[in-house]
Amino acid sequence: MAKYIIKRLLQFIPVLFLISLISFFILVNMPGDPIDQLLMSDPEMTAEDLQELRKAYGLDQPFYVRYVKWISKVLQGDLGFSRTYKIPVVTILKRNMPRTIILATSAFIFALIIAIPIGIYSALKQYSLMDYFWTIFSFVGFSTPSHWLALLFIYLFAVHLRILPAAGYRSVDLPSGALGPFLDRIRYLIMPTVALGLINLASWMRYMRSCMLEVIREDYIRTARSKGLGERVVIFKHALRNALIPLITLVMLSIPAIFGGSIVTEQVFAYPGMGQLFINSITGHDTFITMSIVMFLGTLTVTFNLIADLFYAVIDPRIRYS
Amino acid sequence: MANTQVNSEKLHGLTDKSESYGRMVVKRFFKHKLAIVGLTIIIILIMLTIISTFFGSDINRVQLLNRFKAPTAEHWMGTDELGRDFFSRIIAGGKISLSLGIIVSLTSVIIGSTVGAVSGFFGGLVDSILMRIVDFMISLPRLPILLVMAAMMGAGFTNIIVILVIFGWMGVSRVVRAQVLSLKEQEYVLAARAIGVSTPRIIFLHILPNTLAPIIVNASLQCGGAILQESYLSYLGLGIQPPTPSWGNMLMNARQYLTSAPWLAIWPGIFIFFTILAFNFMGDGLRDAFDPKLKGR
Repeated sequence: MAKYIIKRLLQFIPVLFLISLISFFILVNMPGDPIDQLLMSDPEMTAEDLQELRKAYGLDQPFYVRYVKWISKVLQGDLGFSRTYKIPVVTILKRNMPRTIILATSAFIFALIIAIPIGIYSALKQYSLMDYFWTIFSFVGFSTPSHWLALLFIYLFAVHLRILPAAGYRSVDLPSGALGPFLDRIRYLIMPTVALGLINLASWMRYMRSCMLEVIREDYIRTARSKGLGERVVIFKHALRNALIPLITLVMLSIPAIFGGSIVTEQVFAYPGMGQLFINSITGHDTFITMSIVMFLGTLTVTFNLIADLFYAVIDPRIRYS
Repeated sequence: MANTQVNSEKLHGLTDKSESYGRMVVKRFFKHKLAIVGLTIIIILIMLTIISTFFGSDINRVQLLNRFKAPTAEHWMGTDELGRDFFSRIIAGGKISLSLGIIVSLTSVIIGSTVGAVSGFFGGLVDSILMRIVDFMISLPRLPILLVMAAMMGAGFTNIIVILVIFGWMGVSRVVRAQVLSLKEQEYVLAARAIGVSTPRIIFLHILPNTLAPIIVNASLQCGGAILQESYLSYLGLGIQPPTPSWGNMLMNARQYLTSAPWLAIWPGIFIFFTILAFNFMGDGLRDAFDPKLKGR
């Protein structure tokens, strides 16, 4: 077991290294560079000026030199300087990242607190009318494109009914009172949360149902029933605990995808988080911001893959790793 | 006495089902109601795109006096910001999205099953190298890397296909590898090898056909997935570029006219939704049809 954990932890570093190398390579080879954009704003510049600027920014150096320069800085905790915002990348991330973490967390909680009870209910009442209803619901849920759902929400709740704000993350003039700012943020979070969380809600619900169905057919559940335990104890103490193990694994594996999905959701709702920053930094050739976000999401993916595997190994004694 | 009668009836029942596996699968697929719904939707969509290729009006004909017309008898889905007939554009976008989905899923499935088969059949170093690559590809943050690659390669139909295939083949290869690992130990493979059948022939003619079930299910689900990812990329401006219509870039375009012309946002989404739903239904139906454990349920 300890050997397995160490082996997995050691794989962590080369994977992240490869991700950074490949993404840096892609970004450096993107057509156009920030200097071209400067030219657009100031057509008076000559070819020599451009060359001068490229030299000043180090854009004329080969890929590997730029990569080594970048990574050695990053390893010292310096994420670089944003060429479009003219401030350190860390400052921008400190501003935008918490907003995305809030959005992703609320989508996560929204999906989980609905998926688990309904999954259990559907499994216990298999083939009932409500079970069919939720089955259809989950099919619809994971076939709904989240950007379209977001547009429908905006049309319905913001344009038509005018009860929720269409875009942004908070009002310009915050309402007063102790709870005012908090409730204001919630209002702005409702639509993005549902749009982002729905796919996970649908798939977790289905998965909870099938795990539960599998578990309640097990012998130990029959044993628990036959020794006279109450139905509530059997379901919640014996069945649910075992059914939750595979669900928790799936949930952990989906967390990075929630952050990835927020790129699209933030774009629709003009929510100024990391996702929007990411798209702007790609189109604006702001390499250091793009790299930082790719590496953040990469670390998240690799970490949660690792946690899910280790969790499974620790929690389920039937699984042994060599 | 009664007991033996029941047994012989059971046996009789079994021998009656002497139809081929293929026919059984087809029969079970057609019993699956949702799968039929899915198949019907996809056939209708394909028919619409074929009909429009021959009889459709010009999708790029600009009529500035006819901008933002709500749906009428002449323009079934209204017109867009340049007065172009929206229904024709939806169908043209469907042609792009559907063909993209089908090409992506077929190509990824072919690559994935080849990798999986080679990996499972040869084992050893080849296997561990290929599977490390698969592990690595799976641990990449998918959407961000897709976006960065789309920005590098330049948006466009072919490039989007290439990018989606690069990230689309790993799932199939894992499934196929696992199947091949167990199949290659079976006696019929040994027999084939004993009479001197070449290795590629064994892999492609004797082993792979037996792993067809998960491959086909995967292809169906992946088709829907590819269409969804294309629409995300196009929505973010890094996919199919206007004036070529795609459901994704039509949605992006609709965002700014949401108050005045909501149908521009509603229709493309409905088409994406039903297409993905149809492929999911089909995938589900196929999975049930192929799975002998579900017999009789």
